[in-house]
Amino acid sequence: MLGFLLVVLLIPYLIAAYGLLFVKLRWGLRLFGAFIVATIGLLTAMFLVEAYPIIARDGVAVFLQTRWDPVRETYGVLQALAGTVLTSAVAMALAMPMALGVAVTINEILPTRWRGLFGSLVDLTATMPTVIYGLWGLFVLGPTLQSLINTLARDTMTSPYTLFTAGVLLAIMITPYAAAVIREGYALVPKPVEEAIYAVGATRFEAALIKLRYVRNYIFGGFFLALGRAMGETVAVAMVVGGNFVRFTTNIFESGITISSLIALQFPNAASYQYMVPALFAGALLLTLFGLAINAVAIYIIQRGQI
Amino acid sequence: MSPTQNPKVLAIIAAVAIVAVVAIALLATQPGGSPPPTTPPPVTQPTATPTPTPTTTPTPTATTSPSQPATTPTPTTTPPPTTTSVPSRLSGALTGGGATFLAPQMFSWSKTFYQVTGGKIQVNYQSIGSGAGAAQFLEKKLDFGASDVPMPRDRYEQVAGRFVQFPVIIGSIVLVYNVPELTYSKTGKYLNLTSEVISLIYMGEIKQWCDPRIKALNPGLADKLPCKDIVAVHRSDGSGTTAAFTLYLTRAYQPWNQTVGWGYTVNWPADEKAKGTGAKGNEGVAQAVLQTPYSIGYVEFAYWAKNKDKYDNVGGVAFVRNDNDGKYYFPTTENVAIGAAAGLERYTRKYGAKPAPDADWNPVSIEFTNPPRGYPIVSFSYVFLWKDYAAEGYGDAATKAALLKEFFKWVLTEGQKQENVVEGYISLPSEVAKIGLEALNLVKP
Repeated sequence: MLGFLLVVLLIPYLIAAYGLLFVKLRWGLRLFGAFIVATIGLLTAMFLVEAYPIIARDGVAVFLQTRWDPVRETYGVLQALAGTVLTSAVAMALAMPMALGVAVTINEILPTRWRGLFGSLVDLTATMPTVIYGLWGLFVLGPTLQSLINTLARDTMTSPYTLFTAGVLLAIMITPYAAAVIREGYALVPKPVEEAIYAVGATRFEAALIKLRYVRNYIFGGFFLALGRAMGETVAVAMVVGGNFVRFTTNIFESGITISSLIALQFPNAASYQYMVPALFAGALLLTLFGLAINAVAIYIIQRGQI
Repeated sequence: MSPTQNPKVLAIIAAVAIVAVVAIALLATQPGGSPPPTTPPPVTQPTATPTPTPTTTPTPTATTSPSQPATTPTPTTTPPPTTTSVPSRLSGALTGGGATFLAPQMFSWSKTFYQVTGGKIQVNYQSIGSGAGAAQFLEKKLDFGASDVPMPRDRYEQVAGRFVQFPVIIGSIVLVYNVPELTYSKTGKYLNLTSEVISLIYMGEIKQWCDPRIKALNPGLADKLPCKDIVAVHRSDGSGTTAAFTLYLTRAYQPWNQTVGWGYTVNWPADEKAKGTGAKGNEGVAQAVLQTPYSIGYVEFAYWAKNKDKYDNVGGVAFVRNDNDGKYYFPTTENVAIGAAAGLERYTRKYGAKPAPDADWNPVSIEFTNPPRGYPIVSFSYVFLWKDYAAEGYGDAATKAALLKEFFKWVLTEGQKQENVVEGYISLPSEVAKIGLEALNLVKP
């Protein structure tokens, strides 16, 4: 397997590097690009090969079922996909306003000499190990959210560890990613444009809105970077999502599961079962295809926006 | 271009050449290393990714604090053993792996043994999970495997007679609950539970604490039981703890067997019908129960023993009835040891002989579960060894076998002494340890 990977990945890499350095820069770069596309294709193909036993047994049912019952070798990953979508949706809904707020605050409101410091601090929170966020979610965020939500509406949240907890935790984790991209874009708004905005008598708030509109491509970029992180985050989510892979739920105040946390939680003992490893790979395949689909939509939106 | 930039170009070519050489070297070694090319992927990838999950997360919350008191005494207690035992001429390193539950105890044994042998024998243990432990042992990537359950039957049949398995330590599973009205610190009483009531809670049939079936078992607390929904907390990751717990319910309560069954992960009916929720790892369940009012959860004995006071303030730990003798047992090390000894007795009576180390141990683990006397939820940690390391294709097989025999002989004798057992684990009754010592005789030197 390793040898195969080396042949498939390393040799094209070397050829591309050689082309780039010694033959023609353009051709080398193109080869690199093709090589990255091929890697994604190969990865998907590998998931497909690994997942083949369960797809051969159940057909597409594995993607449409919601039962996860290793005792009876019945596996379905739809509930996990639903969990991934729900937690990501909650996370994005909370994170984007925060990220925009952070970007505008750092660029507009803070005194100039503090901006660099705060910018680096925000970037630092992005680099914190996710397991630390997970522990914080386990001990602080989960119980706090539970008492908060239950004060607002009685008995909505029976457990501190739910899809909502995971969503809020994810929002906190991904905000710096989106903020970093938006902040960079925001700082690049040309001075003449800014002067023109104020020249027509815009207030500071209106100016911020216009500038944000000016950098909307950066906002899109930050959005999809953060979304990718939210969908793929594993450790922290596994700790607070509630790990309920039996029930298909659309209620975010119930415990659930996401695809990546399902894989993380179930892999260590999966080898003891006949079809669990293929089923987990089927989950990975589903997540990859879903991610590709979302990125395709993103590219479409951005391109349409530019034309 | 060439005259001025030659050194730079040369450097690049050199770098590319080095990478190529490394690649070719890897390519050349790979085919020899693992003969079956189709099997490695599912296991090689998993070990790389999920390993951090079980190993790193438990450590900060639960294992560091207990292993401190457990290992700090070691320096003070080690001097006597150094003089008395293991005059080892051997030296080398062993690598084993498997059950995460066993990890703290294995690390402690490994550390003490390293000191006892004067730093000559080093035992590395990878806490990769029971399933992976068995799988990698069978692929000969580990010198010994460890698991919370015996070798699964289908895998056992593939290698029957070629390996031995034996228990090295006992664990036990306790039921902890968080019911503010029933805290031990206020009432001075713990709840009584039976396998039937536990099953029905996890099956989502008993939904509230004031259910008459719970009241009937707890006449002293009947008027205090609140009419609140029970939150049944279970493991969300695959685990030997769940396997042992569900095996107990399967054995003790028939309907559980028909509707749920047992395994590393099961389909908890409470999740669908009532307010069931999952948590990751023993420490996750322990935390969830402490945080969630009106919850119940099952954790390894060690996780409760270390935090007894905390549980007494939010609820407590349940007395569990042994359905065979009808008595309620509190989870103490003595009661668990009684259970283990009684289980062995029952097996011996039923099959006419003690379990053989190279036999299928699934019937044994079934007989140990729900024993005739003592605390009924007993679980063992098993170790797998090959009988003939040379025939299995291990390099330097003679030394490896000798080292393994030396280490496990120590584990089964000195290692079972109270000062070498980490808090929360329970040492083997001597008749059970004897099985392991016999198993070591089957390992070809």
